[in-house]
Amino acid sequence: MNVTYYGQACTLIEAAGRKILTDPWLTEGAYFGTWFHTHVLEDLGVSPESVACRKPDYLFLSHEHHDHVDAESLAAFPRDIPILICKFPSARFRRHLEGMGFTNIRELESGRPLDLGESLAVTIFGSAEYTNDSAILVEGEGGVVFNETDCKLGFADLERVAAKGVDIGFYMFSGANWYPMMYDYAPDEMAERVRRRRAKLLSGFVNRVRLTRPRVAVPSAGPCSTLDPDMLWLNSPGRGIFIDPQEAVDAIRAAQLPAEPLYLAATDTWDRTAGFERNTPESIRENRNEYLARASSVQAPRIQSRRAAEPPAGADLAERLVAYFNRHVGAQSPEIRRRIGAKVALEVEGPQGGRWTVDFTSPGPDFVREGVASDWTYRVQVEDKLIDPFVSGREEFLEDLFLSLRVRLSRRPEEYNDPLYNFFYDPDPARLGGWYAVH
Amino acid sequence: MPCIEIALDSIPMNTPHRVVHDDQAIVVVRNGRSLVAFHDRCPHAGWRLSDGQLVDGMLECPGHGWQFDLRTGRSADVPDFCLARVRCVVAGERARFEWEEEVCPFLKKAMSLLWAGVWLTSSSPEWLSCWAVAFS
Repeated sequence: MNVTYYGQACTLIEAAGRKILTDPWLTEGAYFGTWFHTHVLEDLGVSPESVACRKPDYLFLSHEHHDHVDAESLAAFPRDIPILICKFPSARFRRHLEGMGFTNIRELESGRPLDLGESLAVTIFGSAEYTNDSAILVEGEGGVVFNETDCKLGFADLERVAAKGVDIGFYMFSGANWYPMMYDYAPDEMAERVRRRRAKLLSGFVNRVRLTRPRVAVPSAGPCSTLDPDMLWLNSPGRGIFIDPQEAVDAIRAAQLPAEPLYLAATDTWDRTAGFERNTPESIRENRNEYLARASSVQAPRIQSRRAAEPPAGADLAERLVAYFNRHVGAQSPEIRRRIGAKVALEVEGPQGGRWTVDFTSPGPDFVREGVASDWTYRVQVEDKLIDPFVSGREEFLEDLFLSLRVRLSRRPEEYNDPLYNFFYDPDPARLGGWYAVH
Repeated sequence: MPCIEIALDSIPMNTPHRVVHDDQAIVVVRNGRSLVAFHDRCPHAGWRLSDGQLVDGMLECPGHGWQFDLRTGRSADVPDFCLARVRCVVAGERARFEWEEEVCPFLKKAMSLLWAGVWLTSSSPEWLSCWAVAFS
């Protein structure tokens, strides 16, 4: 049994004569050109084609985020390759993959092992949260590999993972979203929020390793690197939540856990018998700031040309935006709208820009009005060309707009509105209603 | 209603402490003769809060760092979530705890799926009649 790491949550797991490839994000510039790997893959000789050449027998796809399900990477794989996914409460993820042309999608019940024959089995575990997210456990040749991806599993599932006797586990160790950096906090408050979030992320990582007791623990999914020169500050430990894997390794050591922490970079391998083999130069891990500065200078012209090529917003953006939010807010039950209870100010900049308020407290049927309400509770500032694909239906998941880190956000009062984010995540009224029927 | 009585001295000061009774667990935080207690299960992902820590007067879950206000049980991170409170009574050198049993997670899931099913199909007259038959 062996594993080759390809960055973020991508692992090629080989056991019992078969290969399972997880979450192949093998390009750069996810989420409107913002997200890059911890180490730029092309520098390490990795491309969708180079990984597809290894002919995996199965793909495991954890969830729809672009750093896990990347259309450009998946284009290198045959449309009939067996794809293993978790059976989620909604069919959105399956439909998304079918929309990409895949024809052999197998949905597995969370926690129920699938015997792939000849002593190879996989178990997929679904997230404890409302998101469609999942992790995978592979058993074969007497060994066990656990890849948590960036899924937040429930305690009971992690105990079940531990009971399997994990040889090597891949764990989320870093933040992967926009909080708190995209909010308008004063510098001191921002620094304190960043510090607290990083501390929680690292302690959670250590505690999940402690609970699942792997022999080897690899910090993997979570962070991106932002290489746009104007966004390099996001990689700073004092200003961002994207953690250097070395910090996670140090945290495991400081906690004196029995697990051996291992900092893998893309193309490094681990073998159950032979152990760890480093295929990457030590220099890429030595000084993170220097690495990022070098990578940014190489990528900057590409990022610039990619931005310049972004299509402008359509002249009918205003109509589409109003129709989009009226449709999705109006589809919710009054109870769900009451729980969301937000007045979302949209300040859209650019030639087709404007100002609107999406009012979940309105009795309907019109939930959107022009102008920013003085009593807004949440404010989003964004370019017109970035919101246009979502309200026009060309992009499916509104959350991606936030993940692009190309928004500015504010909230009043200073409190996380979970139902509002749940709506941004997926406004399917059945899913939202089902979730809040019991939460 | 489950209840348990234990010696006050058996509860350590200012640290989350797990008390188990008939397969049910609560987390207790003691400050002098003052006690607060909740079900020992984070409503986020089910971690044991008694394995967490006190941070600035908040109870922090070890799994994902969610913090809960000890006075109210309310999550400071996601205010929609609240811990299930346990009644505490101190009498002399004894501490007594009483609580409601937790709703079974499987029942919760079944309720969620049922709700989603009703909502999904409620716009279709054919399904509406099916539901009417089922509930009759």
